[in-house]
Amino acid sequence: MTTADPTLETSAEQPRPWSRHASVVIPPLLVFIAAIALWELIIEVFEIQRFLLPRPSEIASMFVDDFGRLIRQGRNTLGVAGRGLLLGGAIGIGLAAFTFRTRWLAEGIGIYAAVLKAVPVISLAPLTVVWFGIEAGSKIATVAIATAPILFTYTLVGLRSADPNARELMRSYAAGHFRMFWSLHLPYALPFFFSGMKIAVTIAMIVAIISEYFGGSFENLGGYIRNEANNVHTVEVWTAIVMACLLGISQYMIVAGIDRYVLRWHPSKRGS
Amino acid sequence: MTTTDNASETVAIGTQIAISFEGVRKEFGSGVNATLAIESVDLDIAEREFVSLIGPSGCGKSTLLRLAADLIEPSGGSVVVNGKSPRQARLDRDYGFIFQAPTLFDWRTVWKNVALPLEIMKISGMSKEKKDEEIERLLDMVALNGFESHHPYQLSGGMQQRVSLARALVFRPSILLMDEPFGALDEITRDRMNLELHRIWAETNTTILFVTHSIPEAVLLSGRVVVMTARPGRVQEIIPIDLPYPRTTEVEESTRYYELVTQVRESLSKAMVGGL
Repeated sequence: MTTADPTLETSAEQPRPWSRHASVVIPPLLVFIAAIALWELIIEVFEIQRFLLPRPSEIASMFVDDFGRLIRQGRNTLGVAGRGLLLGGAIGIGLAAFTFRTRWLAEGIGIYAAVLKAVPVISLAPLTVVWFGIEAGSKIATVAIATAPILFTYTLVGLRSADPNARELMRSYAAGHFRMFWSLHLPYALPFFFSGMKIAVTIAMIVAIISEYFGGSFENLGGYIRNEANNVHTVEVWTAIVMACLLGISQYMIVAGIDRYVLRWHPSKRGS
Repeated sequence: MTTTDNASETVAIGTQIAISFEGVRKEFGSGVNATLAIESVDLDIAEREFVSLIGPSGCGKSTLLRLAADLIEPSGGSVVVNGKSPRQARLDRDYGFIFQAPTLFDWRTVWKNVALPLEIMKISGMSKEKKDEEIERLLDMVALNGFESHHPYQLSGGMQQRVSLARALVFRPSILLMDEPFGALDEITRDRMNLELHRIWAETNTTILFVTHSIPEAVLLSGRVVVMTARPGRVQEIIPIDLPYPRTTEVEESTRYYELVTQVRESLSKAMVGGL
């Protein structure tokens, strides 16, 4: 009887991985659809005004209409986040690489990295405007200040996690400093670096958008949100938020994908 | 009896001294917290000799090995390796060091793990073909052909240690320093590894200084067994092992073998009393 049902038949023939993927994708998808439906329903039932909370369908259609502009603005914000992350990464990873063998120095820097991580860095945004101007420069600087301590801390811990026996092995080969770093400490640091990177990309995007609230061009997601919110164009604000979400998620997934591929030898990625 | 006839042919101990310890002392820490690990150790190891260091935990057997490897420096006395300072011997890549843990790099394949020393050392005049040949020869020697593209975590503990052995031999060092290399393996694997190591030693003219906890292992493999006392470590007794070569399972069943095992055991228990 079951074999008479074509859908059951095909699903039975599918190899296991498929059903595993399905079980990962389908539940969150159902929750998403339910949430959107509930949102529409609430607006319908309570007659909520458009400028307070627009309908998802309305946001969706405007998102499609404005897609070209949103992508352009998103690209600008992404550019700021990316360049800030690059700068912050260069500072954080560079400092970690140069100090990880000098305990007192790494510890000295580490304290300030911890302080910077505790401080809401975004409160520095008005200051960076004073230092680096109202346009991209100040926003890049804020992103760098926010991401450098994260990447410093993670990379430092990773570089130090190298097996002491393996260090002695390299020493027995009379390996130089660069060799030791490249062939031993770097691979050990990679899992930690990627964990830090997953946090840093998200932070970079958030900090980029918020620093755009503080002024400058409107040709980016933060500037657009600021401008449209001032005019109570709630639907427009929502389309920018959706774009920011999509960009943030795809960035995270790109990093996670690289992580999975590069570290396929690592115990956390090998599977059973 | 045929094994006895072969003995003198398979093993030719050199007359040169490969490693020499003279009045060696090593202290860890300083002031009130200082611990004396080893004291006045005198020991000469000839070229192509196989010498085991055995003793209670904390007797400084590994310390002695690490001194020869220039991984640590002596507090007193002198260590000479191939007629040079241990540091010079290390820079000249005179020895290969094998740890109790295989210490392989998980991100590298078996092949690339064995290739690591050659990559680092950039041995002059060695072409890529020659290197590949050498790696293949070593993998053959430790019976790991067919596993070149596996990663270490896909291998058993015994196979991992064989990779580590191949890696230590690939640049043809004249000395092997082995720090309880088979200590973490099960009995059966360990027995097989012992016989393999013995065969490799006989084939390669390598001097081996071997730290172990196992009396049967020390007796089976060595030309001499050095029994050490507990902290501070000193040489209690050096027992020559006059078993025929090559050492095989037959040798392991001989009466002389059991006598020697007993002799080492008795010496060791005296060493432990002395230390306590």
